[in-house]
Amino acid sequence: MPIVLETVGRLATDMVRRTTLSRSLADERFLELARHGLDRAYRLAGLFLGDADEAADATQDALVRAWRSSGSIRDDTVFDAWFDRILVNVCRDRLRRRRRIRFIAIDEKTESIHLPDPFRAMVETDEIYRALQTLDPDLRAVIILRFWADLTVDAIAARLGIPAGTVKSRLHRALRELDRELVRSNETEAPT
Amino acid sequence: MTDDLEGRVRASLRRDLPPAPTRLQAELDRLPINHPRVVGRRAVSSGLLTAAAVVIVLVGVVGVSVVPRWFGATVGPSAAPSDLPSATASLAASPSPAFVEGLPVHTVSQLLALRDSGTLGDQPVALRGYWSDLMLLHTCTPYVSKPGELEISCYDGEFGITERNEQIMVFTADHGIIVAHGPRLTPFMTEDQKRQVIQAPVNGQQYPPVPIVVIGHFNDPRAADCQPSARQLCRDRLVVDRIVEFDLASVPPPEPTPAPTPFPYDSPPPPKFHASRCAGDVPYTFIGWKPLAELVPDRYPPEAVAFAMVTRDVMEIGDRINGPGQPFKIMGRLICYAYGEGTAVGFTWVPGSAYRLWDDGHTTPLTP
Repeated sequence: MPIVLETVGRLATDMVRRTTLSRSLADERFLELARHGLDRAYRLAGLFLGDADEAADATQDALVRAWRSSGSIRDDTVFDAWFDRILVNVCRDRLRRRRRIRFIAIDEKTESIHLPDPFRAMVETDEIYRALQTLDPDLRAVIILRFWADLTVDAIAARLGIPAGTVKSRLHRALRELDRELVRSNETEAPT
Repeated sequence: MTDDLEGRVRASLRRDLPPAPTRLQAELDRLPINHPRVVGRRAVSSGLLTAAAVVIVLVGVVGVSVVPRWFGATVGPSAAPSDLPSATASLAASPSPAFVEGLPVHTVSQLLALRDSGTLGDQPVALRGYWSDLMLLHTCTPYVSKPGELEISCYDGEFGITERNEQIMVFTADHGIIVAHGPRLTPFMTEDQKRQVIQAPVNGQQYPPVPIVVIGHFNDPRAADCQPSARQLCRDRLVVDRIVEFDLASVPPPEPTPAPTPFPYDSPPPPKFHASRCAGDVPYTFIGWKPLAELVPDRYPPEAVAFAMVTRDVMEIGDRINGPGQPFKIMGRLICYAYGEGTAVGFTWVPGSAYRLWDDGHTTPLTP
């Protein structure tokens, strides 16, 4: 009997090892895919938030969230869309909380602290981008995904978890509000 | 709102934007360390149920509130303890007298062979080996019929004596369980006896196996109280009568990996990274090329070779994390490695070396 049970034990151990192996490979794949898309994710967050430090923090938050839930993703080909969705949600959350909380970098050694912030520079120098920062987060998301990421309406819908029709209406509204904001800012800045 | 506006928006956004800062790259590399995956309830249940088969537990286990003491040592990549450059890699049994109280002292495999030969009866026997206890807190399914105490229902295999210097069982970050490679047994011990064999951090290792010598017997009459299907298991259970030796001071120190570095090629390529990308200017027990499977078992094919560095001492290996109530740091012996075409450095830690260091100075094992 001990021999039989030992055999059962070995079989069970093998099962554990096989399960462990498949999960480990998934982890490695996650890291590989995330590494591949890291620059893009940071840029997307930067455009969304208009601040390099916040972009890095948001990307880091998204990485952690994605890492913790990556067991739910089975298909590598949808990784980008899945991660974009997490990142956009993180950015939207941060924008909404920004009204109540001011994010301050805790780590004073952060390398970007003494470097010029390219996203802030855009806010200061580019009227279109500055106008974009005035949009509601939902509208900002569709503009960036459509005109920076060059995604189709359907792809944006998949990333934001909303119907394609809603994407279209948000795009329309976002452009209209951008136009208004540009007109308004031009009127404000025009010499009287 | 015109096509012109769309074009202007496009032009405005599509400019040269900076790459991700290196701190993000570092955070990505350290995700498995800084954010060990939570062992899901289902995964734990599955793992423990499998473990139940492994250790011949007769009652299923449903994992809840899993707090394995070894978790800190094993939440890194799944690691067979005897494969890694730590004290647990030693195959040498603890030095021990050949006789105790007039009894020859056996290794686990010798004792199991004697037991299975059917010649021992219930006579006293002496055993030497390494004690370890997973100290896993979990709930068990209600018993259909009451098991005998020698069945050690639900916890069989989670503690015991191994022949080699290795943990009897380890949990992995991948929700798996790896049992000791070498011979092992789980003896029956009273609660008083178990209180005499509490492990502790020693020699920079978190709860290492401790050399132990016990005297006990098989074929205890309490086997008759076991469920019919478990009676043989109970007769085969070593019942500890006395703990003869258990001394934390006898835990061997971590052993450096033997030099020269094992490498499968005649001309090893140059190092893939400098110590500054690992732990900096600190002592290392290993620097060189190594089959990756020896560092991170089960993750890579046997032919994959990594350049690796392993710190000699326990050190801070993760960012400060805001834990419940107060922040903590993860401490352990760091393994840095890089492989393949990439230059990214991966991080993990030597099993048996990691723990949480809270801001107020107390330490705890890592928990999910």
